[in-house]
Amino acid sequence: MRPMIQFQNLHRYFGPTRAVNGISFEVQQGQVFGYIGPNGAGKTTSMRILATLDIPTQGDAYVDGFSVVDDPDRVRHRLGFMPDNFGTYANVNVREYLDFFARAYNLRGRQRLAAIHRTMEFTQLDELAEKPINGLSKGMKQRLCLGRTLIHDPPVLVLDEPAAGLDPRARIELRQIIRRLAAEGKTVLISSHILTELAEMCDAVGIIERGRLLAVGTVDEIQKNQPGHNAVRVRVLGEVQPLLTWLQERIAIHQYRIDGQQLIFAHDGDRESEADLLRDMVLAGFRVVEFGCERRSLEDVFMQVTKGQVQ
Amino acid sequence: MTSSDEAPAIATDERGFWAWFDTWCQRAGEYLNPILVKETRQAFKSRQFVITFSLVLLCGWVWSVGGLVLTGALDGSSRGREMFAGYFFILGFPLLVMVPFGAFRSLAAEWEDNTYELLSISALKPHQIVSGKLGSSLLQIVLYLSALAPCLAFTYLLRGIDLPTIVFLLFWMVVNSITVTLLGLCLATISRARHWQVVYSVALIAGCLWNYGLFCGVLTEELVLRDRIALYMVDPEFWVANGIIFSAAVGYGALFFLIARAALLFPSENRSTALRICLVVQYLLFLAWAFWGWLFIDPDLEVLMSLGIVIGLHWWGAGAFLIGERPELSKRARRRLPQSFLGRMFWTTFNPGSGTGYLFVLGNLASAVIVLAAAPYALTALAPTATPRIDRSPDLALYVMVFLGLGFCYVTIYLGIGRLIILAARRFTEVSVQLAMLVQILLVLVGTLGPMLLQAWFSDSRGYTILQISNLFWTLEATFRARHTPFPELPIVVTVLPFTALVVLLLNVRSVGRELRQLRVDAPQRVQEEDALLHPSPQPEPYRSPWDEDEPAARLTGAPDA
Repeated sequence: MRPMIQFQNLHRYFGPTRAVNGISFEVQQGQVFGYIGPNGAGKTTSMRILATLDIPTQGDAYVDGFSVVDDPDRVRHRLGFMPDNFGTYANVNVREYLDFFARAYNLRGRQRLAAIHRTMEFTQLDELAEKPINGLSKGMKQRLCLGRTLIHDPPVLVLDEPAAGLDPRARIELRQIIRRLAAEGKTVLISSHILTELAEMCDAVGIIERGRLLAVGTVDEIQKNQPGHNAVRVRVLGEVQPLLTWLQERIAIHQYRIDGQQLIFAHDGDRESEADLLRDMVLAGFRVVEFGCERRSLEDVFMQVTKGQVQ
Repeated sequence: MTSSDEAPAIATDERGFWAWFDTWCQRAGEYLNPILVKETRQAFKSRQFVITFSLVLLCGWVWSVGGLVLTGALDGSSRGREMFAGYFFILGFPLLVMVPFGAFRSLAAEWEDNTYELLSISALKPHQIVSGKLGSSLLQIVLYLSALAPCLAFTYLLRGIDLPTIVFLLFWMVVNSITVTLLGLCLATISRARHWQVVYSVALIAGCLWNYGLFCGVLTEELVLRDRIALYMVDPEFWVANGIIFSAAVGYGALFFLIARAALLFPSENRSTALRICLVVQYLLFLAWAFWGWLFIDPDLEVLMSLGIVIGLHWWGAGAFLIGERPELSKRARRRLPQSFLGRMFWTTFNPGSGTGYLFVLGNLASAVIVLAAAPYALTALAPTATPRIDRSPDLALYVMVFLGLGFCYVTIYLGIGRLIILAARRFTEVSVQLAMLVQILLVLVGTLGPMLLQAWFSDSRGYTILQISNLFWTLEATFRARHTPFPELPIVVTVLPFTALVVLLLNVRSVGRELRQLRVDAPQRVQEEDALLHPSPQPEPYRSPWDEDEPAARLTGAPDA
């Protein structure tokens, strides 16, 4: 099956700065792909290249099989881009703004009116239709920009920090909208700093730093590929130190912490090996009163994978 | 009963008409440029338009009253000319200053307000963006004209000015306004850096004010107040000059439009071919007008040389930009390269690229030199008795040829050296088209001022010496005057310059050749697939012979008749 988004050895240099340095990954139809990385990692640059707003120094990116360099017009028909920093027009209200972009996407007559109606309903902008754009709040403007992105019903959406600066309520609403879009079968590439939200809504994520893709795959896959992807917590009656010594003889423990009578350590194994470990602990005579395993969160993985370096 | 019953019927009719008109306008609006629709909506709500429009109306009314008193039209004398001059100045300000500058700001603001990116990723093509902005300016021109139309009609009623003069002057004001508006749009797209935008906006507003003062001042003084238009209108030179100016306005207007469009195009698009076609059309138009004028108005050979200077400047200016183009062709541009032998022969120099640009300029300039140098000979051969005023002596024709040939050599040398410098610089850094132009200006400045300073420093001579051979202005001026003033260095100049031009040309040959060898590439398979889906080629009808008719066949197989 042809991927809807494909980055192929993408490079973008600005003088000596390698903003994007050999990125390659694919996003399949209907997937929501989270693009995460620290500020200055190259997320926006690569997204702008995908949106045909910039050209790569080397490599290429494809949308539904069309090169962003050689066929930008075909890419634009298939793609809706929501930049992190967008402008609005003075003396224009919400309906006129959407009407303008509907016309700009060659929607005519009833088709255009239907597109405006559908978009306003979807983004809950109906009540604001006659309101001047300059009088909208940040959250409303974000919704309007998302509406503009959706006006021509593109199969691929590229959303650059759509939740930036939104209050919790607007953020939850935005998350719901993106979930609905995913349910409609749209392919979404989204960047955000709010990793917990991304982990919830994304089918796959890519972690980028200093222009390089450090990890890519589903959240589970990335977690599994990191050493010590599970946090195991054991509380025993009596001393914890003998348990730690016993464990270090049996398995490789990457990170551990003793908290009173509780030992917390990172573990690479799966559920079965964790069950075996508990059984062996009990058989070895440790009086285990509490045993728990927790998957490490995307935030933990992100912190482990990235080093906080910027260019 | 009757009156009260009829009233709603009339009202219904009126509603019917207005409803129909409204629907018609809406339908027509579907096909209008989206930018025009948006900008019109914005303009009607904006304070700037309301204030400017009100000011124009106010000035019109004030002049209508004040002008009548000041010019003494109230006592019955025909003061239409003076009144018209006042209205012309009032109308000129919005048309020649406000509208062009407004168009510039409107496009420049798209970058400043981060709205251009949203436009560029829509289905709008760059030419639609520019024409939308232009359309919005045209609408403003129409509105301002309509605001003052009653006043202008009033001047006709006052007598002293005739209708053709009013129409002639308004026509030129609109042409001027559109051309300057296109220049404003072009300047808005050339650079997106804020400091350059400030420079361009200051230059544009100063230029617009200068244009306004000069245009309104000269036309009202010369044609209206002194009432010389009747004299001019019977003079063929006047109409030739009008034709040349109109052709130049249309040609440069189109060029500004295409430059603005090219600046907005995606980098992998072909930005150059349309510009090159426009440059050739401009050149041919100018050549046609100039020849007509030369043959029928002033058949002096020195006029031919002056035409050569104008054409040389045109191609040198164009070449300074064209050699700054990137030598590599994108795959997208290569999909549309000419394939046939004839196509490649005639159209290859229209392909984008620094080398093709260099060759394109030299080819066109060479054609101009040949045409201008051959013109006197051709005229003598074809029509020996026609236009007897032409000086047909062979040495004069040779002198024209030498002058034009030297000009050609200078363009070859300066553009060629500039191109080599840009190619070398591209190995280390990005070179924009604007930078290429600056390189060319610097080269000419060095070649001109350098020897002048050297001569002033080391020599007592104030006249032309061979040291000045790189100074194209002094050398060409000396050649131009060689007919009357001795120019002893001419034999050296005509030996050294062509030789140098040949060397520079040879140094460029290899890289130019690489660009000429570019071949067409097929569109990617995905594009071909989609094109096949969108535009399926008609399936050829299966061949049917007269014996393939269905009925007999059915009978033969024994199938029952329907």
